[in-house]
Amino acid sequence: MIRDITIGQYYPSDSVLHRLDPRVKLSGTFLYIVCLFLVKNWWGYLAAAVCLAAVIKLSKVPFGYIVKGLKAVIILLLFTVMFNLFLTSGTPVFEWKFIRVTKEGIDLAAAMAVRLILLILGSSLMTFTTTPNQLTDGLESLLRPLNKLHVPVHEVAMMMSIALRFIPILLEETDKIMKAQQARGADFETGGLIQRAKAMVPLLVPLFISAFRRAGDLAMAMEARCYHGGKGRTKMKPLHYKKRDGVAWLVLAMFLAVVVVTRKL
Amino acid sequence: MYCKSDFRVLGRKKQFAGKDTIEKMVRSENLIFEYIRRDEEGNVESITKALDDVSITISKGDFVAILGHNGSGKSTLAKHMNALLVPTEGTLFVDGMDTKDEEKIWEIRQAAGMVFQNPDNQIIATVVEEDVGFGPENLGVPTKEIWERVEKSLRAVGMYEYRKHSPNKLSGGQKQRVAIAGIMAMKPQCIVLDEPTAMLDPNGRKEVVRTVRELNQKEGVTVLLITHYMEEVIYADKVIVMDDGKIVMQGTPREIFAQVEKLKSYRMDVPQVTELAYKLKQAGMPLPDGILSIEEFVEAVQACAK
Amino acid sequence: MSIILDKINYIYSPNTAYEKQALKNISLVIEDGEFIGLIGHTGSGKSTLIQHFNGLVKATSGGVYYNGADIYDTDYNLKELRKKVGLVFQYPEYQLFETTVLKDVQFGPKNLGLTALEVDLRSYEALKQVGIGDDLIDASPFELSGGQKRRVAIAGVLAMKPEVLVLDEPTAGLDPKGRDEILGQIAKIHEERKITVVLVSHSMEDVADYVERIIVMDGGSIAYDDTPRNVFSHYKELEEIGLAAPQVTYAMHALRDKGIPVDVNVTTIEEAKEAVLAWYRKD
Repeated sequence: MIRDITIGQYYPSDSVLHRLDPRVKLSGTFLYIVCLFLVKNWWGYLAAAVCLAAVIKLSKVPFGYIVKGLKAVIILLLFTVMFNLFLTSGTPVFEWKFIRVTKEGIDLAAAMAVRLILLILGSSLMTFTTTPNQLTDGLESLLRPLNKLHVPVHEVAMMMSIALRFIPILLEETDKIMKAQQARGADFETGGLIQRAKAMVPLLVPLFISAFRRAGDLAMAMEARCYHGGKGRTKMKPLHYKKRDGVAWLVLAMFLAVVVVTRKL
Repeated sequence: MYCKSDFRVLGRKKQFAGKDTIEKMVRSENLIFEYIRRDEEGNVESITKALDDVSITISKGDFVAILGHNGSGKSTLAKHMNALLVPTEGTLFVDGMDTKDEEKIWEIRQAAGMVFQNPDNQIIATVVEEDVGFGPENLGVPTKEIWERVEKSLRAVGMYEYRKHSPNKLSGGQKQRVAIAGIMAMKPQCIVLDEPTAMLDPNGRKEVVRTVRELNQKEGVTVLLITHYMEEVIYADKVIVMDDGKIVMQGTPREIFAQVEKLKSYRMDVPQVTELAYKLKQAGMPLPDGILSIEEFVEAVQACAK
Repeated sequence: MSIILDKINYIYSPNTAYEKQALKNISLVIEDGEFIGLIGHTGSGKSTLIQHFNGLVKATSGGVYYNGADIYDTDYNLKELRKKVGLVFQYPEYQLFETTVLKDVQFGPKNLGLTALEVDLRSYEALKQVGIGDDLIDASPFELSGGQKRRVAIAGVLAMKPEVLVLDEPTAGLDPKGRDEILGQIAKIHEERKITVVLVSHSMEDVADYVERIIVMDGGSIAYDDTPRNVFSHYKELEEIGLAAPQVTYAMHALRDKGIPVDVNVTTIEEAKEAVLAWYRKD
């Protein structure tokens, strides 16, 4: 079911991770992703997986809930695996007609899959533990230097946070419209690619109209509540670095060191 | 001596009343608003008068209900109170400020807060308390005071226990109460509610109307409730009925509901007991006009028995 | 000819933090040609229940039988079922997508694989039945008023000529006149087409004038399933589950409590008027 998709959602709880400064979480996630690409061998993945497991434990978000986030990207995952499995040259392990699987291919496919899974789990953990507003505040604060280059940082951040708020609402709406059109005999499941794409019209048109209507309503509601951009705005939850944030930075530094060390193994 | 002090109190009250009559919450004079539709070349295709010569005054502290069928112009009028729309002709004053004055726009919006129909499309944040804080943030209120205001407004609408919740998990009535708290946190003098109950079930409707009445009575906030549910307006100080962009009826609920046929001609309903009493009266029972509640109805019927 | 629900259970998002039993052991028979009101507040399970009627939602356990056939049989044709059980969702105007009113109404019958002539005939007939005049059929559905859009959406389902028509809160958000118009048209369609109609609502007052049977849902179970008169006699219990009988029912009970012997089993204003007059004229 569409509404089962949990990626990008906030999971309310009261953990150390939830209380961390969003700037730390944002930069930490970025660092973590960079590390995943620095990893050279299985020791590195192991280190990353152990760290991630520990952080997940700290976050008090149920593991099953996080894993469900993977559902949304399963196609991407399969595609990556297939691509690496069949198209890597090297010592053949298995051959049938034009299909050839190599030892290097298996290694690469497994590594890519693990990397992708770790990446998605890690980054969705950030959204699970950070409310979109905090995320926006963090991003806004981190990207503030770009303001000098006339990048509308506040507006971009606000846009992101609103998008995140409306994802579950629009998903539910998609589900509803889909059912309504099915009740009118629409068929989303069978037929060739073109036919299926055509079948999406009765779903997408109402969905877009609804999204635009909501956007109009929301703009009016925001204006009515005196929203006029980032200028002169105060914060309900201003960002202040605390001791735990310093600790988090230290942990991240250690993690980076471990990953670099594993490259030598 | 007793008398004298009494007099003084009276005198002071009167003075306040006098001041209030000058400083009305909302006052419009011959307000006209036209929607202009243009074709692709930008030529005027048609002009619809959504509001036609509307003159109203709303006193501070009043609970005023505006009734009318869909398309009667009541929502257009509501949007004027918040300067989301400005008059094509005529003027509208909110707390003495002309809504056409662009420099006053944020003051006007702070003075007259607005709650809309669809609860989902007016909640901005993903946590209840952050949403209530959105308005004060925009006004530039200091952080500490934002927290105080958020707590106070959430308590006023009875949603304080839900402050850490995600709005998506709340019922429609609860979402609307959060939206009302979001407005209250801006410390408005007046709340305009544009069909806040149209998308709710009976429970949610009761919840919202109860909250609004409480704010009016306890906090002294002027309320302008736009609706097409009759049960919601029987407690109002004043009812305004709109049709085709014009104000067609004005008065206390009792005065308005006494005119069952006229209301029906404007595509409006009356509460079931009101209609029942009206029909019984037509059938020859000596009942008074404008019965609003079951208690009144029972009393009136009992009087017939004697 | 009937819909039979046999011990239906339905669980949302099983095995997650949000697991919720939406329907509990529902058994129900809907006979041909009935006009039923399905009442319950938000979250009572009424919207989930109706999606079982045409197989859009599959029960976690239990069986659904349409005209004696088990719809969960592997070779049962669900598409055929959706043709026979027409479902109009809440705020159906949000599903309109075509460029003209007529084209939108044609979407359903076209999906049934009918001839172009048959599609046209059915579409025109359905539009006429919901009171959309010829002047509007070539208009864009997005230019219509809220009430008109809703009627076009209902016509879209009617044009499929269902044997059972289920409408989820068809009057939500409409003004009193719009509400009366739609309910009146639905009653007329029920009479003319002799089809089964299930009207989902949270307002007793709305349905009391029209239906002959009321099913009250509460917490995923059926609380009452009876004639309006008998259901409203439980007005105190109804209030406990967040619903209310029509205001006139309360008025009659209040009179009775004050010692005025009127018939309390009334469901409409007309009945209440007769009841009070009967007492008044005798007095």
